[in-house]
Amino acid sequence: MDTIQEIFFLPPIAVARLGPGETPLESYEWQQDMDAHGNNKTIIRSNVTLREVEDGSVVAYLPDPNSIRFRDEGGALRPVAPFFELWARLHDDEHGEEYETPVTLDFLKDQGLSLENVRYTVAVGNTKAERRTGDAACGFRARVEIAGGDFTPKPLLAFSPYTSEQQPMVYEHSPIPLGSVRAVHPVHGVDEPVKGQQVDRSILRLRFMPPKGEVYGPPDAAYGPATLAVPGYQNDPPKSEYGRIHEIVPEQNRILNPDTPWSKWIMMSGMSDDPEPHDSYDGARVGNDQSWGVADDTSDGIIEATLAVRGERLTARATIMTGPPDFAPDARPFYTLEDDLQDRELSLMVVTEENYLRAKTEVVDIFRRAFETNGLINLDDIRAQGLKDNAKLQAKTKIPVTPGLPSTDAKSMTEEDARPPDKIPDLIRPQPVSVFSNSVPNERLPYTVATKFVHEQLIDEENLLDFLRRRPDFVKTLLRPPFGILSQLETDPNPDQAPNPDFRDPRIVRDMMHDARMPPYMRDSNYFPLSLSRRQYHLVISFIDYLVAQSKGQETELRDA
Amino acid sequence: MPDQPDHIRVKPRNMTARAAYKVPGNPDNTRLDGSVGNCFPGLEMDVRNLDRRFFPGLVFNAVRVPLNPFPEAPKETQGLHLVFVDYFYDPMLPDNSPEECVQTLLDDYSGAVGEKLSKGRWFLS
Repeated sequence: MDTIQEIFFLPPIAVARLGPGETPLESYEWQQDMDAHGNNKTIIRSNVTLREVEDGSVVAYLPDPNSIRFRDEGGALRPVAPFFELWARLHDDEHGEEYETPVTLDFLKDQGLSLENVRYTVAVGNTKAERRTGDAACGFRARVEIAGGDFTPKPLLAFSPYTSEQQPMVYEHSPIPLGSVRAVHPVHGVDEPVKGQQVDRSILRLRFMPPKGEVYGPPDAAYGPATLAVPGYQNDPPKSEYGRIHEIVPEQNRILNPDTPWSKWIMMSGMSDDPEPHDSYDGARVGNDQSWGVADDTSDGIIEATLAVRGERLTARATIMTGPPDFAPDARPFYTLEDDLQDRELSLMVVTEENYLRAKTEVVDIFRRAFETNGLINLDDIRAQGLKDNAKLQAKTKIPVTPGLPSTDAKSMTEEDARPPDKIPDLIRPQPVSVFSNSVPNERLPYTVATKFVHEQLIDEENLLDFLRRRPDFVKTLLRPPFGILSQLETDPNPDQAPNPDFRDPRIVRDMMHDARMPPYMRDSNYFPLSLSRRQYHLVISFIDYLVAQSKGQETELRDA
Repeated sequence: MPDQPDHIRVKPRNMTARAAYKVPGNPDNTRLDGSVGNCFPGLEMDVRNLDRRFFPGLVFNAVRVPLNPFPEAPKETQGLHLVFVDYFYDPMLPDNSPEECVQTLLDDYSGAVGEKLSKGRWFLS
């Protein structure tokens, strides 16, 4: 009998998405459209889906590939409810090798185990208010333990644990549902809804069902004025004067304790931590910016399985995060959580003959994703926002213009930009030197339309490689460099000094300003201009260098021949 | 399966084997490469929360100044906010460590430095 070394979940981390619908979203995957009119764009197509049946087990089927329903009949968005499979790493005692395999009923039997040796614990929480206020009783958590043979759904009802001197934000008698979790009933049998794609129904699985996506608040979080604009710009009107009146929290959800630090929290005081998003659910940016004491039902947490094996207890852990619905499922972000993690864990990639194909796949994918994101953005609007932010920073710091870099004022992206954009003059009417674009009938959003057209050319691999080969220096200057790592940064830079061309420093004012470099006018998690991840940026630069070196080599060979 | 043209599956990018495995039943937007990174405001996760313990014995939050602080708001309250001193249970600071720098840090944290850092608000910015 092979020896179990480790148990683990697949996926190790997954995102669930809120939805009030009764039926979980069917599974789908991204594909490249090869239809005659598809133009190689990314599309979504259904793939093997697991449906829970009466006995708590799942059956696999393939939904209609051409029709994915994102809403129930009544219009409610369907939740995205991921499965977690339990796997094991074993040592092959005969050959001395290690291998990984799903934990199934037969697996347990072979190991002399049963479902009685399995136990799950799921703990989730929402600590947004806790972190902002520094008061642990403003967080709310739920924890359930599930025996391996219990296949009923377990609701995750969260409340605020507290001590004698604290006020709980969420009462135990009025908890906030953070979803539910269910151990799927493993049964013998294999489904094969698509030839070659077998689904073993006897694998031990958990399914996390996210909550509906509701907001909760204290009794007085009833109605408030909405803001009209991002506050703080000069000449903005008073924020409560013209806005519509909106319902902050539905009546049935006004169940939170009004006497907690979260209801007294004032974002602009500077006296408490202000992590982003700093104002997404405290109600409104009106009056003295005091919080409405509101909370949502997103959460994150840990899913844990333990397996008792011959007197030892093995543990598997996975992370679950509940996020918002995906409002554009066929448009992929170009800077993902995966890139965030890769920037932390992986070294920079230098493109060589050996890794060229892998590098090419990644670079092409970045440009395809850039196009997909680009199609979701109103560039005319975010340009105005970014340039207004620049104006505010410029008024405060009065730094001189940096020669050689694109304009940061209203000339940005116009023909008068210090580094004029390449295609814009060919694609749209001349634009004024203004934060606002010239919107006319049939050309309401000129920058938005033009940039989409430009990016569409680059989702074709041959077009992209040709472009990178022909205009390497142009492309390099077109990309905004990422922020440097600590070892790159100067000890004490002058805020007015010219930026390093290879990386940015958040202490240098020009590095905090928006300009037309890619991605233009988008913001990162610190409200600074967004760049590619450090690894993505260096990959693209190294890839371009490799293409240029190859082209020169081929030219030399041709000349010599 | 109905007749349909061949489609190119969009492959998961460079990932470890465990992250690359597509779990049957899970749509692609459950995956990390379907979630927005480095985003303002954040959506699914903010990876800066993984970097709270980069300095032995100290725990930080990544924060920024409010967009429009009151005039009387304290200045420069941005970057990394020291939320607590935690040297007793930090695996980087074992009390029997032969490293001189570890012992120096432990002495500092248990003395005046630790006391000072435990009061008021401290930022690395």
